[in-house]
Amino acid sequence: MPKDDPEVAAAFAGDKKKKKKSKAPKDEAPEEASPAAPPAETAVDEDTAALFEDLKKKKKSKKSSAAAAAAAGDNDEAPAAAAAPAPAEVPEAADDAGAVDEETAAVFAGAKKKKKSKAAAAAAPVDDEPPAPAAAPAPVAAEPEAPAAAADDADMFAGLKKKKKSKKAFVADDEAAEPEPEAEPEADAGATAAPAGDDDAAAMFSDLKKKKSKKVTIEGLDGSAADGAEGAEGAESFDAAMGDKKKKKKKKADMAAFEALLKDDEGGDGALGEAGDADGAAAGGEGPAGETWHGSNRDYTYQELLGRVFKIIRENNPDRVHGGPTKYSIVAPQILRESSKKTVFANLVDFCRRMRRTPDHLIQFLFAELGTSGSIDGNQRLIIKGKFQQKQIENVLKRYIVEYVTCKTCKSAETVLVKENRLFFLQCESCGSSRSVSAIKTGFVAQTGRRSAQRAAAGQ
Amino acid sequence: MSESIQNLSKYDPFADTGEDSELSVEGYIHIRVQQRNGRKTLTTLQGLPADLDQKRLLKAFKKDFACNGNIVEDEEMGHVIQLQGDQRIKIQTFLITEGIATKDKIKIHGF
Repeated sequence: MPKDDPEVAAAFAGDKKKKKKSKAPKDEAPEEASPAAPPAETAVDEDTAALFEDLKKKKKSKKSSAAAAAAAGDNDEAPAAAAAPAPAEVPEAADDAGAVDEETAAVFAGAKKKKKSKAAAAAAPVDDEPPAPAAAPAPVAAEPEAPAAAADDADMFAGLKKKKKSKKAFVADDEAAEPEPEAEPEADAGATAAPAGDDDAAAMFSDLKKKKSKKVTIEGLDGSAADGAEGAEGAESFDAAMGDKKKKKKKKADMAAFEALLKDDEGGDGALGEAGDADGAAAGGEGPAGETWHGSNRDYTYQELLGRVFKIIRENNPDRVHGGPTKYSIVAPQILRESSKKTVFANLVDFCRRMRRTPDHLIQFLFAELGTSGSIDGNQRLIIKGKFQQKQIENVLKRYIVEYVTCKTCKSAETVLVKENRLFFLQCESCGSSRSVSAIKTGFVAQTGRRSAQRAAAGQ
Repeated sequence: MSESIQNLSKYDPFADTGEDSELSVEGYIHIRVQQRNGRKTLTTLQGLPADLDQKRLLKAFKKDFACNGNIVEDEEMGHVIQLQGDQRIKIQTFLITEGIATKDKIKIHGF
């Protein structure tokens, strides 16, 4: 069905992305500080197509808020504005055991963001800063979301945690993206976020952005060279770079201690422990399985649990990496007009073979639904009395597939229809479930033809 | 005690009675559309609860949908309301808003 096509495409895109991602962390792990690695992995595991979208969306909204922060900082003269949200991070970190890791995660996110924007906008002139200060934008940028979240939720903590989680996911995404041309799309998303971030309706725009970024990502995956993508999105990514620069300045000015901490994190694995001690939080709060709530007394968030359950599913079903049932394709019905009053369904047999149903069953259904009659001609084509358009027939066939082909439990089309004691049962071959389906009944058929013809037919 | 069990075995409520009485048993209301000549269509409504006054319902239908219609007596299906034109969606919304049936009890057929 044509309706399925975008879904398939989306799922496919998701797969591709996944592959890239899973590749990326491995490459990165040795060079990056190891604390970043576990979150990255978990995020990779988490990601089915749907989840991935979700995360992306969040990321985007964060970016938009980041951009907003940049703009705000610009107006207020950076240090003061930036310093306000930053300290909030520290007590929060003390509260959360896993917070340290997340901070480092944020750092990496920042670093990567910067690199990306650098790559995207090669024209950006002031990119001589070392990675450590550049890394700072992430926490700073991310912070402003906290008040927003608090405003939205009465529960500030929940908001913070959620944000952090998304931050981590963000890191993973970024890491995955870095070696690939995907970097451009990300930057592009950031750029679009910049104008969007001005007003508070991040949620509204996040949807848009999601769509956009997805599109762009697919584009990138399709093999458009990084340079080409850059050229296309040059203006936007330049904007993003500008935003980043502003942030950088701002952040450079403020909180030297925090920066040092960040530097440490960038420097090596051991730094994580130090940073954790400095913050007074339990270092290594992150569990081996990426369970950030492990060892802390905070509540786990929905996102974390979702990631966990997907990870487990993936581990237990290595062959089902797609995260969903495989879509099967079916040919469009070929509907021709035989005469002014007859319609021909040309590829009925092929259609039935693909669905693994007997043509008789489908014909019975078609006639019952359309309230007509017909016959099969010499070429195995079905002749239906009455004028029908392809769309109408497709509608009926869709209903047939839903009713008699797809498994209600697992949505798979690998089913067989068996008859037991005058009852039809639909047995799924992929999940083994069985359900009874109602027999096809022809309902009341009103008399539409001429009565004299009817009488003549009855008299014969 | 054993007697009652014997009684139970005498009458099996789930036994196949031989007659296809599923239509009334299911309690579904079927709305179908049929082609007439040209681009004209006919909508049939079948399986309404017996306690409803079909005539009054038909009157309401005719007035609301601005179409003609009549009641057909069918030996198998009982009373069937016929309306001119494709009124499927209108009938469904009418039945739901009037509280005659719920959405899961209404089945719309046709193209």
